[in-house]
Amino acid sequence: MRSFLLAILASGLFFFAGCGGSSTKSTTSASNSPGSANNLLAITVSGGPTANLANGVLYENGAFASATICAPGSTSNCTTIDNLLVDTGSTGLRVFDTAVASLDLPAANASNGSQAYDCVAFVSGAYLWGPVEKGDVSLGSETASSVPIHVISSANTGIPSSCSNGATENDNTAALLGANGLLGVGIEPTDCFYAGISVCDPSAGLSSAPYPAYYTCSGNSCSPAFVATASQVTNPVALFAKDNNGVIVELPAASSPAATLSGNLVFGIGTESNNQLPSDAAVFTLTCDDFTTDFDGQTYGITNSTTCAGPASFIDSGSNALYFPNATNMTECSSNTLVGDLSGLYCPGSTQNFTATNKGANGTAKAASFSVANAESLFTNAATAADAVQPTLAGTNPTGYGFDWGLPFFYGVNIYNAIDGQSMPSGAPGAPWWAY
Amino acid sequence: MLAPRNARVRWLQAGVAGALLLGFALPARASLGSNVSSVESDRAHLNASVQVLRHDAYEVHEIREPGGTVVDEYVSPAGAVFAVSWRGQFPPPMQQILGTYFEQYSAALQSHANQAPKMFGHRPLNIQEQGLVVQTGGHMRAHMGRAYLPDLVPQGVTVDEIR
Repeated sequence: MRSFLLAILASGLFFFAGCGGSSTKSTTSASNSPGSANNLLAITVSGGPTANLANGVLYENGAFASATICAPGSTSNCTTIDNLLVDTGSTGLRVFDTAVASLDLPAANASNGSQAYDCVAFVSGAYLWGPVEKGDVSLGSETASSVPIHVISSANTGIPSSCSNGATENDNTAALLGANGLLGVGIEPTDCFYAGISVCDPSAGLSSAPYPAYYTCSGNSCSPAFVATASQVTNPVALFAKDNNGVIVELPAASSPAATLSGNLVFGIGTESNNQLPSDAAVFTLTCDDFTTDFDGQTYGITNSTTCAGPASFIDSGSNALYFPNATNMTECSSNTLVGDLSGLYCPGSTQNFTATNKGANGTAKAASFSVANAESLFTNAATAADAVQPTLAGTNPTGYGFDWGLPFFYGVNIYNAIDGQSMPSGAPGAPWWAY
Repeated sequence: MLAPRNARVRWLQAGVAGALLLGFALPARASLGSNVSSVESDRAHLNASVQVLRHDAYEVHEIREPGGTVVDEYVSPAGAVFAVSWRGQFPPPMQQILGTYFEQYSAALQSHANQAPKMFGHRPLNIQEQGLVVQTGGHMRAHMGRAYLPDLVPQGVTVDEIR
């Protein structure tokens, strides 16, 4: 008890000392000391599971964590999966079928009673496909029961064309995905929820099931299907008994490339002594689950809240760089560099330092500073080429699009992610929102 | 308990109901590069479920997919679909959107996936080929994108307007 109180006192003092500094960063390592906290999950930016293989590929700017999955109600029929990508830009736990086959997890069913299948697409066109099954999920010391999980099928046949949708990259191996799965801990409670409703649930009243989303299959033929919210792939955090209203990603500062970086995913906002919203934090309410970034005289945000048109900006730990339109005309990398095709990344002559302002629908505004180095230099310089932590890696979003604040933004900035529909601490607006 | 956003669901339902009322399945659309047979007849055909927005040099036909994804077709004065953009939780059906350009898109995705060095992560797509550009942004369950034919973009129209 005494050591716990001392830890709180010490962190309080550190917090006080940290205030009044830069307007762009809230306190960081103050709340990193675990003490006797049970709402933490260790995360590391380590290069991922493929990094140390012969001819392995490094996953730059990916934060990884472990999860334990048990057959519902069991404490012995369990498996622990490491190197899951911590992704605040998606919702739900997604693991390869080979990792959970021995658990014989029960099916989550669609509304018509058949096994539900889920299809999710990355913006790159790659996709994930497989059945939805239920398991007890433990993240650190917190456990959620009977969580609908996306079990990624190792088969490459029987996938409906509306799911693959022209793409050929089915990321159903660690070699393709770069991770052993995804830990989607974003601002929605299931992967079909948006603005308070789930159109995959028949009660939303759509006349036909949306796609590519959930399916049922008969033989090798699969069709879009409605799935009740309780059977949709779910944010495990939302099903915790406590600390279930959001997550905080806490990673220390890194101003230059480094081999690794370690921090914590903190569960809950305003529910424990180690997850309180600081008084100097800016809370951004969202439009279409996005906010606005002002940069170089341009405004990047949603312009029509009904159709969600506009150059939306967002924060996403699952993005491996900062992506933003080339408003300042930096040189872009070529497709023919010494290390191959780096097109889409920035290659300025020298490192550029920038400041942007992020704004919420509620009028909150706060600055964000970032630097952009020459990506070709980063990857050809022996001193930095093997570093998983690349704070100055950035790339383009096409003109007409907005800011994607990927993992580099999180280095040294605690990012609070509040889940749509969950209870918020008093004084905080209704979720979803981000804060830093 | 989550409070439903009734206005948004009614908006989604109206688009589908309108199409069914006119006796059509969800709107047959003109795909990229094809000609809307005539702008007037397309508008009449698809009126209930398509919103037509007039700009100086082109029209935009706004179509809603079953799951709420909005697809905008950009139609030149000559009736050619020179661009398509989309945004929503779910990507649109690319074969219908791209029509005869779908195979070229698919091949580009394949070489994009095979590019070296392999870079993991959710990177925006930026396909710039002879005669076809396809770009995406966003993240899982939050898709936005556009496809356009640079040779058919009307004079004076910038690609920034396609989004």
